[in-house]
Amino acid sequence: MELSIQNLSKTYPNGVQALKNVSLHIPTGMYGLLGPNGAGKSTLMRTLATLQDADSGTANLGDIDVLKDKDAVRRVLGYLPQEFGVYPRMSALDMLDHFATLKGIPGNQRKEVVQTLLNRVNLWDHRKKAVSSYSGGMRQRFGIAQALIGDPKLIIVDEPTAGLDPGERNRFYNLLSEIGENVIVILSTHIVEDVRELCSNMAIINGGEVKYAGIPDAALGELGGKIWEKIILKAELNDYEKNFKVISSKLVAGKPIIHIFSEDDPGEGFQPAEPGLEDVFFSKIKH
Amino acid sequence: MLFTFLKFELKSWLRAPMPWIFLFIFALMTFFATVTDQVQIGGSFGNIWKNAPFVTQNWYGVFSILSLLLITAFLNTAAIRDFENNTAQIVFASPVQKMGYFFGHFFGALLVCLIPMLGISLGMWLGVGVNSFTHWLDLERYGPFEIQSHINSYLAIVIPNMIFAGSILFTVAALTRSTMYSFISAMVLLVGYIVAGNLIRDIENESLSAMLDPFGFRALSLVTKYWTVEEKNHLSVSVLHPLMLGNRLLWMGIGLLVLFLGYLRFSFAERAKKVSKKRSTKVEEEPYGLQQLGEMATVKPATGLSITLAQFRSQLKANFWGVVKSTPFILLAFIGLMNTIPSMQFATEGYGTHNLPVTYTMVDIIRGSFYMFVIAIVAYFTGALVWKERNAKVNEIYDAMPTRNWTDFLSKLITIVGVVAILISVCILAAVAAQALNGFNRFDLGVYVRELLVLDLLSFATIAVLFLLVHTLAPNMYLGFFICIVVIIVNSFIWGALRIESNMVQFGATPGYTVSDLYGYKPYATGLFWFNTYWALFSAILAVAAVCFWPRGKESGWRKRFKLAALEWRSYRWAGFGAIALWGFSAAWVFYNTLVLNSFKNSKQVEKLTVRYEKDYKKYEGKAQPRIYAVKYDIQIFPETRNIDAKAQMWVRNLHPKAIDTLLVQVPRQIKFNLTSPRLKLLKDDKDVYFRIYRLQPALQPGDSLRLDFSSIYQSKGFENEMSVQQVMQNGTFFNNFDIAPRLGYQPDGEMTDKNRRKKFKLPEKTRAPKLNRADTIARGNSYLGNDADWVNVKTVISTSADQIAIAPGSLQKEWIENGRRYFQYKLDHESFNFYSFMSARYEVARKKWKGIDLEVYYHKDHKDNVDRMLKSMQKSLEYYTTNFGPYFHKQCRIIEFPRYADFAQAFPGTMPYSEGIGFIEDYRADKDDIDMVFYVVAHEMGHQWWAHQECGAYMQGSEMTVETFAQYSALMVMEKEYGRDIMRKFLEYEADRYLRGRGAERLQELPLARSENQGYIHYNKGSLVMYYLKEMIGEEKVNQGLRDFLNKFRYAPPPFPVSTDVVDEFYKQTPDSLKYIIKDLFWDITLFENRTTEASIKELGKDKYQVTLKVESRKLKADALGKEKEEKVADWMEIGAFAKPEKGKKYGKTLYRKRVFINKKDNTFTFEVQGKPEKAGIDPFTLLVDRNPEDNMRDVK
Repeated sequence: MELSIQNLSKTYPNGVQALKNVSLHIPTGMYGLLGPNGAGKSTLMRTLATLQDADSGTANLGDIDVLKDKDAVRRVLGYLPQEFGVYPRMSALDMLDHFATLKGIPGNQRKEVVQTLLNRVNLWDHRKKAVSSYSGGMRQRFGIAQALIGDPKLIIVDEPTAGLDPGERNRFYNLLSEIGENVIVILSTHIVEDVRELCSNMAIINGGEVKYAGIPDAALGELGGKIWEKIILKAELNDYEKNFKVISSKLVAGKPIIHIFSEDDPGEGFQPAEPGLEDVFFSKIKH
Repeated sequence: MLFTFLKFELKSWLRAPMPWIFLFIFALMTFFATVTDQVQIGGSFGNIWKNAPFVTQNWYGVFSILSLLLITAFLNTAAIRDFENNTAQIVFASPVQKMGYFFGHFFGALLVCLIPMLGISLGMWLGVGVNSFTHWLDLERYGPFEIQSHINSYLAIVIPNMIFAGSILFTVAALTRSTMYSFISAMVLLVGYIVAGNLIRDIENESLSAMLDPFGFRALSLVTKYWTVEEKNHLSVSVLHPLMLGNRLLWMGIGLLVLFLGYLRFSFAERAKKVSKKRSTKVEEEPYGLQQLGEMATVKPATGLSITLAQFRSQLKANFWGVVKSTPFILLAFIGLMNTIPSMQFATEGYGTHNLPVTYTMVDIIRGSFYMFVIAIVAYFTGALVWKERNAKVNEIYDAMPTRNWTDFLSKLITIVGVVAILISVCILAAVAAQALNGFNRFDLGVYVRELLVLDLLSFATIAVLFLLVHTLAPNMYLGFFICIVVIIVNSFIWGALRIESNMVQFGATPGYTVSDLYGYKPYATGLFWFNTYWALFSAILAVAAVCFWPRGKESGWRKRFKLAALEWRSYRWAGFGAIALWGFSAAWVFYNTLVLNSFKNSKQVEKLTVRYEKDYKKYEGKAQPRIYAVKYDIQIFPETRNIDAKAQMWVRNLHPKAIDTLLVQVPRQIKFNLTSPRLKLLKDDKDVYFRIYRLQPALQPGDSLRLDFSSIYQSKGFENEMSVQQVMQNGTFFNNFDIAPRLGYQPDGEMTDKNRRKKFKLPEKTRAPKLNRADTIARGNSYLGNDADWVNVKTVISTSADQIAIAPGSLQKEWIENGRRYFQYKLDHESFNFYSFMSARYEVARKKWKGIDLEVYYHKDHKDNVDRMLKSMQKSLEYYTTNFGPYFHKQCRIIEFPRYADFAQAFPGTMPYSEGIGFIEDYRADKDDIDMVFYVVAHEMGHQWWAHQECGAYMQGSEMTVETFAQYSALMVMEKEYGRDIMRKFLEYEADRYLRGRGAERLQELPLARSENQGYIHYNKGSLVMYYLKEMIGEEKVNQGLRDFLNKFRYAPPPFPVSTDVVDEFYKQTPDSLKYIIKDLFWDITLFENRTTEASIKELGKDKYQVTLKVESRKLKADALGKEKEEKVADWMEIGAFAKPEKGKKYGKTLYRKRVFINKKDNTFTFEVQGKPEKAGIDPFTLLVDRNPEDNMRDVK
């Protein structure tokens, strides 16, 4: 099963072009969508989750035309939106049961499905509590539980780790990667390292365009030996930006370290640096 | 600091559009109310100026309640702005003082609330100004601009209301920081207003109710209750009026107290943080390891009908419990039931009487006090449910589920209809319980179910569908609410304004109907069925549209939404086409029935025809016409099909000195009418106004007579837009001769009467009755019962279905069965006026004989409660009237029940139809100190057998006095004989109250009794007071002697008919010289008194013996036609008295002292001795004189 996206474009009524001719091939496994805020990631994911309509282009999941046959998509889809709320005063058990019903799980199996999923995300002990009283991590676990109902073929998770502490984030990713062995999992994030750790494939999106699509290691390979770093003074930053292709600058112990892209040794005290995915990301979106 | 925040509040609002938008809206509304007659709020009618101070104040009163939601919006924003915008932490981190912050925002926002209210004055002022150029309305309708009334409105109404309501709303908002709670508390305030309104039903509680009304509107009404036109045009109520001041201080005080307590509780601390802390402690975090994926997780979604139904059930469950457990629902339902269920125990309260708690009354109570909550629930939850997933932010998950739109839509619709049905059922159970507790066991469950759970529920369902569609399309929830409200308001006003009165056009409109124990729903059933079907199917179309446009996903652009809807339409097209086809069929059928088989004219067409009738035919008024002297009817009533087939022969005679060559015929409406005589030639048939002109060939010579044959056929066909002929029902037919027989000559009662409408159509001013002039023998040629007959003989053969009894005027001569139908032959025993009824229904008959006269009551088998009382009243009346007034000329007295589509009793010769809705449901099982209304009404109608049917006043001012006033007097006398003299005041109090209220509602001018112009409050209510006082002054025997002498002159006499002067003269003759002044005061003037007891003290003289000292004040006033008063020196006989404490459960104590004294100066002191300890004492204790403040006539003694 493969998700194939061809020339997808979308312009909002207010004139913002959210997707420009996006074409991607997404195989089974974890797929990372990387991009800054407002890049068009969420638009793409919502379109794949049948919640939005593209202006032009196609998307096919196996034989399913994602844009036309929404009902078929919905039956094989698990979707965890970036932000989601819950009904007030409804317990996790009731709410998951409600979602399982809506998903189309036959009544005689529903109870066990719900039980299995709650166990799986370790919420069984808290099943009688209102989801609205859950902490951020528990709520996210609940979110993934509902996305797993009905053994979906396509799972879309939009910025799932925002607001989670590092421990909680790790556990969440462990769960995701286990699921991602057999189905397509599309994960959007703006945290570069997440993709490196989890994804076998990735795409970088900025301004509605695909800047890069491929394997993370290949992207890193492309930059091998072309990234240089130097500790500079704050006042010098402007000069460096004029003279070099500065990819990023960050503070280390209060002093700016800049990374630049250069085919050859730029001299001037620059040291070669091991390229990270972050360098890939910034080099892709800066041009 | 306070001023900083106040200024901040003012500044930010003055730049915002909201205050100005509402200023504009308020100004626009008042402007239109000022320049048109369409808007009737405010109490401007007749001679009351459109900008009268009274009207101004009413507008402010109404708007101060309407603007409650507006105030809520403003104050809520002011209170929670910093929390909503997340600026709270910034603001509170700066060194602000709580006091300045809290009160600064409050008073700033409160000042802003005053801005829109200015629109009322502005709109009124602009309206008057613009109209002075455009002359849309007559300039006479406006008075000068009275700045004082506007100032008084602000001081007495607007500002206190804002402080009261504002304090509470602001406090709630500041403490809860929740918009929802602010609006809910606004709703609670509104309910408080309505609950106070329920209390006012009992007249004793008026002052209390005025005090309890937090908005002072009822205090205002109470102060102005008896205001005359003159006063309404010139006076406004000042905040210093004691009744006003008390109320205002009380509620402002309560408001400010709440505000202060709120201030004490208010704290800058972040509330939200506390909650989140609580949350995190509730569920402890724990790491979760990976567990093996169970086999069950691989279960795949299934499809099919059972899955779809399971999805539907699950959605229904989630929606239903979501609504039922939500705070707004619990509050609305709870307050609604609290408002409704207790008021059921008042179901039996009438105006000084008690009624049986019959089912249709209970139904009306549920509708009246509960339905506004149902409407609120429907309006709120349609929005809340459509937006439920989006508000809870589960919409992205929810929308990506493989569900169908229709299950979601239907689950929401059924949730709303379901909760409404449940709430209504609770009300029904409570109503049945209330009936049972009252010992009443005719529970009409069928009526409850059909009225409330079928017809009303259906209309709530159609509204719910409409609202769901609006919210489906609306881009945000608040805009959705706004559109729903606009749609409802526009829908209820626009069609009337456009004069489109078909029930097929106004959304949800169905024909009016009245359920009755006699005919059930039968006559209305078909029409109701089809109109309801029509609207249900229309709603089905809307529902399909809503399903197609159902908000799913994140697309909000219209192009995309249409594209998605078109995609959906493919799955629903058969349902859609089916609904459209069925609706089209029902529309065609309804159209065919209401506009092809039947037809109706809208009010504008009717108005135009009325005008044309007068313009075209007024010239024939008074043209010599032959007079009817005998009629023979052959009437066939077909109750099952609601048809009448009548034939008649009518004999007329030329009583004029000249030959008559033209016959003018006013044809009965709604009837196929045919008039034949060999001598008639039809010259003109003006079908629209039912007027025909015939040539008489040869002309009818003086003294000659002529037989006119006519047939009148009424055939009901299909169903109508509104039932036009209620006179024929499956059970309970009741019509009079004017419904089937022609009238001869131009009929001035068909003219337009409203003064302002007449002006608009350029018709000359119309007097309500010709001037009282004893010498005007032409006007005295007609009694006010008709202008084409004097005394007639009537014979009738009437037939109906075999199970019904048909009744026509006179004695029953013969009864037989023929062809499965029942025939009756009646004959009048004595010639009478040409005004009588024909009736038919399945009756039980109660009979009694009194001196050869048959006393009969025809009633529905379940309505026997008051039958004996009616028989008794008929007998007592006959006893008194035959003794005091003269013989009775008929051989029977019949009370006949008719269906409750109208509430009245009426007297025809020997026959008195009495409505199911009044006399047959009054409750006398418990002695509750009630006025015996049934006894009284029957005595009144019996009185008409003398006063109306033996003599009737000429068509002239004052003539109702010779009919209605004397019937009232007759009934009072029968009551007094039965119940005693002291108890009469209970009755007189009500008469005085109605008279005084009636004066204030007078459209043209108030006239003295002897000149009244068909003014009910004068000839009934003032008439009672006048006649009773006359009787007290000159004695019963003298009054009756006067009446006898008068009747002897005019009994069954040919014209000229009597005028009021004739009878007033008789009273004058009977009055001793020392009292002759009262004749003028009572009959020719409008006389008012202001009596007051300023001090009442007692001194114990010995064993149970007391000396009473009274200090009293008396003023006498004469009023002109508009209520302008002039004080006159008092020189009148009045009563003083003292009364013991009432026994438990009774209203009046024993009379210890009652004496008439002559009072000829303002201040007087009286001392007298009584046996027994008095509780109250005072002047004119029985309020025999018209007094606007009867409460202060007596005082508790000290």
